[in-house]
Order: sequence, then C-alpha cells, then structure tokens
Amino acid sequence: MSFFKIVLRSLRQHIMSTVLAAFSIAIGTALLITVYNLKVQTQEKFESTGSGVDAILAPKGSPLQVVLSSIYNLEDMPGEIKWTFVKEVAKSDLVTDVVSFVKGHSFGDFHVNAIERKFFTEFEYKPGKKFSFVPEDGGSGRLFEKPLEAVAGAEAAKSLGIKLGDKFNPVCGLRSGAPVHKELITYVGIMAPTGTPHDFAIYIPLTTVYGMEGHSNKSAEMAENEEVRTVSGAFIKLRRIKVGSETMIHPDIHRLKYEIDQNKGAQFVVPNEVLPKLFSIIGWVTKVLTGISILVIVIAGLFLFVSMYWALRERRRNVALMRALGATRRTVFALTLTEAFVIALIGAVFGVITAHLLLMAGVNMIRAETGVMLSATYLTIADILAIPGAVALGILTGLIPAIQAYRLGVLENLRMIS
Amino acid sequence: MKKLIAILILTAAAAGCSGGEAPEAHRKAESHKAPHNGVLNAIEKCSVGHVEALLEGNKLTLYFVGGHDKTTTSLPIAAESMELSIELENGSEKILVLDAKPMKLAGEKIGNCSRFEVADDFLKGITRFDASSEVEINGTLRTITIHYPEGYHPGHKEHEHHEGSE
Repeated sequence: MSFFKIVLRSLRQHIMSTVLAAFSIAIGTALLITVYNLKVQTQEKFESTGSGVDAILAPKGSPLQVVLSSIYNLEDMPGEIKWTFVKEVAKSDLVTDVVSFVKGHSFGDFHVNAIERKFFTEFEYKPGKKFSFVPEDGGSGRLFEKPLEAVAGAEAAKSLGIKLGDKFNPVCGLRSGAPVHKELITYVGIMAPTGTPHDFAIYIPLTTVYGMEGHSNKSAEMAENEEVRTVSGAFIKLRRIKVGSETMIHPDIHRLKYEIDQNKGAQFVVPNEVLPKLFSIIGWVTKVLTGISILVIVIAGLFLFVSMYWALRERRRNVALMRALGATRRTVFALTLTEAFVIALIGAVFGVITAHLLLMAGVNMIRAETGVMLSATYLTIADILAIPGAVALGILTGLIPAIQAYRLGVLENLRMIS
Repeated sequence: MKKLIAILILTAAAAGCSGGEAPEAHRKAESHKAPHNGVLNAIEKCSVGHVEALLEGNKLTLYFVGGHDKTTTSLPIAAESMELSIELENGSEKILVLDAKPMKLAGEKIGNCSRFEVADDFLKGITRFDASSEVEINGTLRTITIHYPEGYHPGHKEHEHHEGSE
C-alpha cells in the first residue's frame, strides 16, 4: 500500500474529527482573509476616490461629515457658505478651479446634487479622466442645459431604472417623508460608470435648486443675486508643481488651509487628511475582527492537535504493526505529520474559497449601503499567505503526535492490545 | 503540551494587539504645532499665545497664534504695525517695522489682524537672531521675545514643542 493511501485510510478512520478540524481551519482562514481583504480594499477605494477632489471648501463642522457628504453622498453638509466667499477663494494663486454645489435633496435614496456645469466638463474624477455621456463608455444622452434637466450617475440610473426622458420630483431633504417639490425634472443624460461614489447620485444645475417651489423667497433671490447666494460647499482643484518628473500639489496649500480655517464660517477640508482619521476610527473594529479570526485559527490548530493526538492513541496497535512489518520510525513520523498537513491544506483551500464567497456577499452589501464598489475577486497578501500559513500551523500542531508516533514502542503496544 | 498552548495563545494575543500607538504619545506629538512650519515663541507664557516666526529670504512674517496647543488658531491683535528690535549673532542690531497683512480669507482686516510682515535686506542670509517687541493683546501690553530658530518657551520642557512639519 502506498504512503498516501495509508494517509487517506487513516484520515477516513477518524473522518469526523478530520472534517471538523478542516472545517474550523477553513472558518478561521476565511474570516481572516475576508476581514483583511475588506480593510485593504475599502481603504484603497476611499483614498483613491477622493483623488478627484484636492480639497473641499465647506461650512464649519465635522470635516469627516463634509467628506462623507460631498464626495461619498452619505450625509448632509453641516451648513452653508457664501457664494462670494467661494469666489474670493477661487482668486487665490494656489487654486486652479472651484466647483460649487448644493446638497440637501434626494430621490429614491439617492442624493440629488445641484452643481455647476463645469463639474462635468472640467472636473477630473481620476487623474486624466472626465465624466462621459458617450455610449462607447457606457453613458447615454447629454449634459443638462436647461434648469429642469438632470443627469444620473450610472448606478443611480441602474438602481432606479432611469431611462432618458423619464421625469422625477426631487425630495426636499435626505430622509424619507420629507416634502416633495412640485418641479418635474427630466433626465437628459446618464453618466458612464466611473467606479466612484459619483455614480450614486443625480445631478441638476446649481441655480435650479434656489427657485424650487417650497423654498423661501430669500432662496429664490439667490438664483439671480450672487451677493446673497449660499452653497453647501465647493470642490477645489489646487495648483500643482513639478518635482522632477512628477507633479505634486503646491506645498503652500497649508497656508491657504490655515487662512480659510480661521474664517468663522468656513473651513478647508483635505480629504486625504480626513480619511486616515476615518480609518483610525474604524480601525479598532478591524483589529477586533482580526483578533477573533486569529483566535479561531488558534482554536482550530488546538482542535487539530487534540484530534491527531487521540487518533494516534487509538491507532497505537496499527502503528506498532506497521513498525513490526518493517516501517521505519521516520515513516510513521512522516505519516502522522502528513495527516496533519493534509487536514490543514484542505481547511485552508476551503477557507480561501469561503472567504471569496463571503466577500461576494459583502461587496454587494457595501455597494448598496455606501456606493463604494469593491471586488470579490481582489487578492491580497492574506490570500497568498493563507495556504502556507495554515499548512505551517498544521505541521506545527501535528509535530507532537508525530514525535509520539516516532517514539512508539513496538512490543509493548502489540502486547498491550493482544 | 501546556507550554505549546501557552505559546500559541501568547502569539495570537500579540498579533491581535500589535500596531497600536499610545494615545498619550499621539496627543503630545499633535500639540504645539507651528501651522506655517515656522518657529513658535510663547508670548510671555504659553497660555497667553504664541508668535510664529517665519524667515524666508529677506522677508520676516510673524503669525500671532493661540496659547497652549491652540497654535493652529489665529490670535488677531489691534495693532496696525509693530516695531521689532532684532539682534544678530555678530552683535548688529536693527529695529524693523512690521506691517499688518490681514488674511482676507480669514475675515481679517487692519485693526484685527494676526499676520505681520517686513521685507528688509538686513534679514538676508541670516539663520539665527533674537528679537523683542511689545504689543497689546486683549487690552494687556505683552512682551514678545523671539529666539530664532530655537523658539522661546519659558517654563516648558523642550520636547513638548514640535515645530516644523509634522
């Protein structure tokens, strides 16, 4: 009988503990890979998504709220800033472009953002990439030109089943039950997918929002009179300088930020500074989940050890017989170690598969809740290390039973059983 | 076997707990930040406020900022200009007049300004100087002492100030 046939027969003899040990290793491995994968992907996604916006000119309030609202469409903005102030900031030598927007409206769980037209013509959501309505890119229609026209992000259009020419009434607020405006707005464009949270919003012209029925007279005046106009905030593009072959944001950005931050009504929010704070807030959750995953793997290792230990005790006579029939100490040592190796390998392989099935469910949930698109097939270092790591754990835990098998006395075990 | 279990548990615990930073250490690193990467000098004492001195070529800019760790908040004063007596290492002295340069985006104006500037060839090429002045802050006449580039921090341990980029 070949070496591996003996291993498989031995595993079949204690099939229950083999399956349970492999299952627990699979669970631990799957948890660890899933947690790590989600952490890496979310962080990468959040950080890269913000790259289209160098900074946000916003009212005083939580910078995190500003980022979540303006870029990720997850919150409302903390207040308003004056249009004239935005224009003052735009004059700064450090600023190359400013795009003002008004938040606070929604439709079917999606934010309806009133925004300046140049957001679609000048703004780059990723370096070198502008929004597109071209069918080849996956878009359709055109950019809004009249006050009662709108364009929808790719995911918002897909989710709401929007077709060109469809009409909708914006809701005055972000919560369900808020009053609905009477204005009927027509979709004239559907943006090509960008893979960013911009896909999860509907956009209308900036000035449309002021004159909507139900808004105050002062709001209506804002449509015409720039002196009294307020906006929720503005995306800022900053001047870049060349350092060698690379371009980077002008180093004096901190002076501009300091100056604006001293203003009683405004702040200068840099997404790349705020997002690490977000990750430090949610970092402890990742740590706890990672800790639990490691604990499950350790318990799985202990379980494997105990099952191997008791399996050996039950098979002492078999091992003694093998030795009596000519098997060397090294052979029985290798047999026991290989059993542990095989169980760990099976567990790890199933763990990797299970992890990506869990990710499949997780990414759909995250996409639905936050608009951030992650991938279930994304591989991290955890995927690469999972199998060798679990196998190493298997070998480590199988070492003591293997040594016991190596030292097993042939005569006493044959005599004891007979 | 007991040893093995203990080693496994300790390894898991260490892996789960690594990567943390002591909150106290983090808090200290955040405190007393010079917002323009200049040199912070306490105004008489740290609680009153600080003057951040920034020397670029022949231009000297002073930013009046808050006390304690509120150094990223401006401290506007009523003065339209201020006289600063500067002494160099070689013993040469000069009185420079710094004019208020309001930060418009901050809503400042002359008479309520936290930035003062002067450009003078006397400052060209120098890397070290001591300076003093007197200004009225919130109705009280305060003495300004500047040690450049060390900073002026009476009663403070040196390590508590983290000037420059952070």
